[in-house]
Amino acid sequence: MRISEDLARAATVFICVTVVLSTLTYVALTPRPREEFFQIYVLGETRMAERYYPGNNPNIPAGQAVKWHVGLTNFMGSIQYVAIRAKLGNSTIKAPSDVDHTPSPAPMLMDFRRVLMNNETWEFPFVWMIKEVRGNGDVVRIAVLDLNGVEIRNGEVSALKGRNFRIIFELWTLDPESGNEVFGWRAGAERRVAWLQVWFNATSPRPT
Amino acid sequence: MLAVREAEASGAEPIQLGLLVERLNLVVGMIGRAEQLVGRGEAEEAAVQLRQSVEVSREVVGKAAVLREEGARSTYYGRLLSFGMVPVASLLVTIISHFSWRWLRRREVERIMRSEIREGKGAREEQR
Repeated sequence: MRISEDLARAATVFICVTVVLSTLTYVALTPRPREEFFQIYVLGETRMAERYYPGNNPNIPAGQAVKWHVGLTNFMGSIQYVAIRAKLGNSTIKAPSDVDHTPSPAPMLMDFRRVLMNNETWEFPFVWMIKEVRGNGDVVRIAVLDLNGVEIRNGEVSALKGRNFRIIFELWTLDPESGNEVFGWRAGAERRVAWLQVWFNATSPRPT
Repeated sequence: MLAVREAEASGAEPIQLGLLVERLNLVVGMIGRAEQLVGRGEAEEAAVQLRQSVEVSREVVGKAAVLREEGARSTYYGRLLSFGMVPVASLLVTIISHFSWRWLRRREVERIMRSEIREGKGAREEQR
């Protein structure tokens, strides 16, 4: 009678502890669902959120180099292929849409691509300079732009008196289903986008 | 890219994955350079870049497959070991609790016996 009582108690303890430890092991080994997102940012020449323009003057003359730092951090929980597309826009060109998840129709200046590990931050310099400005009455067009040492000819984007140009940064990723680059990313059933823009005015070259 | 992702999902070592991602970035750079060369009309140079990128890609796919298998195996054995340790740990806890219970019970019985003896002695002394 004594043995069976002890045995019953021990069996109860064993079963209870096994259930608890199995649950704990399962919870510890199962990856927790977490929010999947990217963080994109543009910093000024001092690598801080300031001094985006030389002398803090947004009127950029031709021949004046502007230095920014563009960064992206991957919090998607997995390795990701990303592309940051830099576009030149004005105040009338449509901005990317957070609602429809459509990119801006502005002409692309350059795209920067990379494969990022989870939690990895990628930062690169973005040095640009207006090389040639053409005017037609009040309408000013940035004809040639130098971006990271590459000369880019642009024939489409112009602005009244050279005001309110903008450089748009869009985040594109590789869609694993289609195998194509898509604007934004898929987080579960949701679709998300990330983009930034910095405004500036283009002015005539400084007199030498 | 997909092969490396599969390797990551199977639980491959982050350091090994980092090396593969570096190689992938090399491929991305080569493709970018090839596009620039095509833009400048240097098709032959671009073709060379693309051929090299294909070679590196193949190498990455091969290494990713090995990593995926290793990762899957280590994840499987890790889980097996973790769940295998559960009954062992339960048994240890059961044995410890069993002997603790017995020790506590014996101590309680001894305490009661001692107080009974003390009460008995006290009663006999009173009778005297």
